[in-house]
Amino acid sequence: MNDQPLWLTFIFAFLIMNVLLIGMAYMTYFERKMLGAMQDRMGPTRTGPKGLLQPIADGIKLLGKEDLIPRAADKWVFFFAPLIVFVTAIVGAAVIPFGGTINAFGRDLNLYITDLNVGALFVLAFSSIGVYGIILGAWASSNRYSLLGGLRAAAQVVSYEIILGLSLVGVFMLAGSLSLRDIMLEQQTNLELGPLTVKNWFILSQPLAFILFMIAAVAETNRAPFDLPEAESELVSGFHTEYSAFRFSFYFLGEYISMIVVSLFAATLFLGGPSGPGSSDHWYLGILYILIKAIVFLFFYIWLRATLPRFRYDQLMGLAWKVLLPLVILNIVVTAAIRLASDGLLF
Amino acid sequence: MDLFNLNFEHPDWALILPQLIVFLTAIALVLGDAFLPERSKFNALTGISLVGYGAALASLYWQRGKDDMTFQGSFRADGLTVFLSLIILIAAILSVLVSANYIEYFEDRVPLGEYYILLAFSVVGALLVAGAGDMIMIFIGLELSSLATYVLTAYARRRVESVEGALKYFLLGIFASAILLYGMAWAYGLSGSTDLDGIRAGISEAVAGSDYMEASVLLALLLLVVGLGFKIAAVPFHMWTPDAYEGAPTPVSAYMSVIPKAAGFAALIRILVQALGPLSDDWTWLIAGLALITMALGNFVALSQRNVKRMLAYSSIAHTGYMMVGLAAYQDGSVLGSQLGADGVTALMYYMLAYAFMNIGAFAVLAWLQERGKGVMLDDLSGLAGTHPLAAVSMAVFMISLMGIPPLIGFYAKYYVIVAAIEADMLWLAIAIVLMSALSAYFYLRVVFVMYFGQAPDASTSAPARTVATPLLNAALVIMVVGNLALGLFSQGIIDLGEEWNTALTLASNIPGVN
Amino acid sequence: MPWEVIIFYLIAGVAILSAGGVVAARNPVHSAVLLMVCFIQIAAVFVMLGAEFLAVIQIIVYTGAILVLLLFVLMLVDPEDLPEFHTGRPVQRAIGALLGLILLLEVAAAVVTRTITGRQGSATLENIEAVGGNTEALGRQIYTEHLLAFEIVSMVLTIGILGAIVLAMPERLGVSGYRRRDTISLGHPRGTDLALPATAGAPIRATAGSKPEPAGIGRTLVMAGDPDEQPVVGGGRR
Repeated sequence: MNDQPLWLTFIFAFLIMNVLLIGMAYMTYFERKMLGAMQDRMGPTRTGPKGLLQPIADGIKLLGKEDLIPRAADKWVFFFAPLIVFVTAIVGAAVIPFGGTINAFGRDLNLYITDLNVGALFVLAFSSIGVYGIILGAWASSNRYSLLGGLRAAAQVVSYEIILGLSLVGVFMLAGSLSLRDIMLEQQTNLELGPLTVKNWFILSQPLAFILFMIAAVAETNRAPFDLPEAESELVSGFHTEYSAFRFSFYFLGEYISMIVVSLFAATLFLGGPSGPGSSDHWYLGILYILIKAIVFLFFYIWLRATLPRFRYDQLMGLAWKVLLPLVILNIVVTAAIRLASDGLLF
Repeated sequence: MDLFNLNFEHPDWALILPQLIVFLTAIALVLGDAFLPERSKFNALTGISLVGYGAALASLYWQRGKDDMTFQGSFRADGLTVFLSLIILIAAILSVLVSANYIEYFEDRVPLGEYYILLAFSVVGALLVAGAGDMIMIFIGLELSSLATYVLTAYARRRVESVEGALKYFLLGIFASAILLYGMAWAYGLSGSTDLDGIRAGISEAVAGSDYMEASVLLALLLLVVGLGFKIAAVPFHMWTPDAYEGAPTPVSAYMSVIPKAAGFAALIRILVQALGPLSDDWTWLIAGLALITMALGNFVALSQRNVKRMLAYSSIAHTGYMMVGLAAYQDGSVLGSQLGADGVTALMYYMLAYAFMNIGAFAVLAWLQERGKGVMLDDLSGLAGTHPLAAVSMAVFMISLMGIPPLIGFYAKYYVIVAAIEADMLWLAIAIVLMSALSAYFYLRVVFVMYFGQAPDASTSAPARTVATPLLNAALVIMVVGNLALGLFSQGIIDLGEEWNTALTLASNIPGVN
Repeated sequence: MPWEVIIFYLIAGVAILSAGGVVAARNPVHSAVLLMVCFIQIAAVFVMLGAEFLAVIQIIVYTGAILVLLLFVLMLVDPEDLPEFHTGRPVQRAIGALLGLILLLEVAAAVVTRTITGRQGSATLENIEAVGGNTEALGRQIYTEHLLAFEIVSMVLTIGILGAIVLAMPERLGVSGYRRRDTISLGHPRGTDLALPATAGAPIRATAGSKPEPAGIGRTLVMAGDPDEQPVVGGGRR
């Protein structure tokens, strides 16, 4: 790790943010195309070649719509609730490493915005603040459907956040650090599996944690089949029923960006981040690899949405507390025991 | 203990044996509640509780004379721990005996094993405070003890008074905890240590040579005393007491009049005597003043109570005042570990033990009556001597003991406190105790009077009395009556045991850096 | 250096203002939001002190979990249903304000006149650097010096869960084979706040053997009876 001037970091952060925004726009396109394919239809085709301009048209349409505020709404809370969702979703990307330190343009450049020593927890912390946007927006709308959506979101996120956090403990114990950069570097070491030599990706040593993490991450981002806060068949559209136009687009942006960030996070934690063939020599390959890995996760999100029906509420809670929580604690205990045994400290 | 020290000492489990036994009992209760067959569950859990507390009590025998610490100084096994644990465990056993049938029968509530689990965890918390060597341990132990007691207070949640009392207790209790924690933070800031002996060393270094008190030291002291004052129900921090005692199920009232109070006094002794001993010239006056208003208000308000539970609540406030006199009579010895001025604390601890026998006894009689369909108003006791002579006799014994008439245990308790106060040149406090005891005779004897000379309610109009068998409660009543009669006469052995508390201070002199 | 001071005062100022707002806000949800702001500022102060781990835990635990659950409850409460919220009791409020002021002055006096600094502990910057950072230092402290306290905290948490279960458990869940009933309905207009007309056709019907409605709380909860015995309300459904 080396120190680089602050302005370089700012430039890199600006780049990341814009890439995220564009990525989010095309995530919607990707989702619609994929859903179309899975449901044997075309998806967007009209705007631009193969419908490629559709997200931009949608954006312009959203900005041009009328901004409605319910008369009974709590104005201030109603105004800033969507911002919370948007901001906290984007901030999480600040600790994702896209690679190590490279030498380009005659300078040493860090391919990450910042390397916090508690980076992984930082992501969790901001995703936990993000739920305020949903709850407060729901409450401020003074709409019963919104409120129910908000209540569901609160209970769901608090429950699944526990799973999300605890599923990472195994990874932390193996990596010996909470810093995402250290976790990434740890996964670039080689692992001998008999005749095979593979990279030490944590999906190999922590498969249970990986599965639990993915389930909890889907719930945490309020995506199908855990999208009860916005279950349209029962709650109109849940917490953002009363939101329109610009403010609605913030919720929309927040949801998709947090999906992208979680995918990048998962790729870093479990799939070695930028590691892959040739990535140690060519940094751009590393960036390509982490993006590909993230896109695999995003496809997984869409796939789930197209495949699975929505949970019932008690099933959702039962799953978290009765199934996932014992499993995740089991994973921690087993990992800790193995780690201690490998150091010769057990018995 | 520096950060580099990774040579983690393995804890000496033998030192923490009584606490460990009660903790394992609690775990056994949790498992038993989950897995034992429904029908015999409640009796089995009663049995597990009794065996657990009994084993812990027995294990105290081997703890005597130990003077050591474990868990990196977090836990102390010394004379103070032994005596306080003795009080707490005896009170716990008596509480279980009183509770057993009551919880089973009262208010049609299904007997829940959680009652014993909460009780057991509360006892663990109190025991840990008794042996705490660290501010953090004191705080966490107190919280563990209090949290369980809050829930127990609301156990009869069908009655609004129960929930109301629990809510008041809870809100004021957590507020007091916050104040206590703030005081601990100041004490830490002043001494650079959370360890009690470390605080003692730091404070005595800091205040050495100056005879005026800094505002920061005073603030820490005040916050600590206020926070703990809530826990022991000293005036003016007593507001929760009457409502909580009245609302709680009677066995819980009995329990919380002794064990959380013992935990609170344990924390007071540990903090004031052990950690802030160098400041004793200042805090003894504070405690003496609080003691005076506490006993005065408790006794005066108790005069007008018609509800016996409420009267006992105010009487417990008054007794808190008497106990605090013992603390006020403490004088920090110039030589650590010397016997000088230690009688006050010994008297306080003896008083707590006596109080457990007297007060749990009084509540036990009320519980006994409630199980037979009677209320807790003074009128309900009317003519009790005619209908239930044995209950009336035991109630009379407890009342007279609470009043402090020889040869009952209450007299000896007050006697030792008064002697300690006189030795400490606090004659006015000793006189106050005597006057207040005379005043308290009115409301204690009124109960006796009503029982023996009141008109028994007409048997034909009143509801038919339920006949229930309460073997454990009867046994508890017998134990407590005998205890009230006997422990006073044979008090010298207990006092000798109590005087060993002073070993709590000897370890401090071994710490490097302490002069 | 001066930059850090300026940033600190900025954070501290926002923290104090939002804490004041928590008390002054007339709407409990606004209070909760301001409390969230206050917590985040405190986390920022932790970051400035080099305690990143504590900062993140502060956000995850207090902001992300405890306050969310608090909001969960507050959202269901209409502030107009809190009769004594910020109204009445002028004497108590005056005394409270006076006591608060006295405490503030006392603390201020203690801070200003303080000369005792206490002995330096082991958590110096060099020591923390040597063990590899703040998180590591905290871990070592917790798992060695404060091990017992750490374990006891788990007991405190267990008691918290147990207590909540004891207080909230349906009265007769202990009896096996007993059906759940008397659940609170959120489907009633204005949530649970309105008293129901006690005429026939109300969604509650005191079925034989069920307990009477809890009295004396002042607000009637809408109880839906056993779903199987529920009279058809509004027609059409079921």
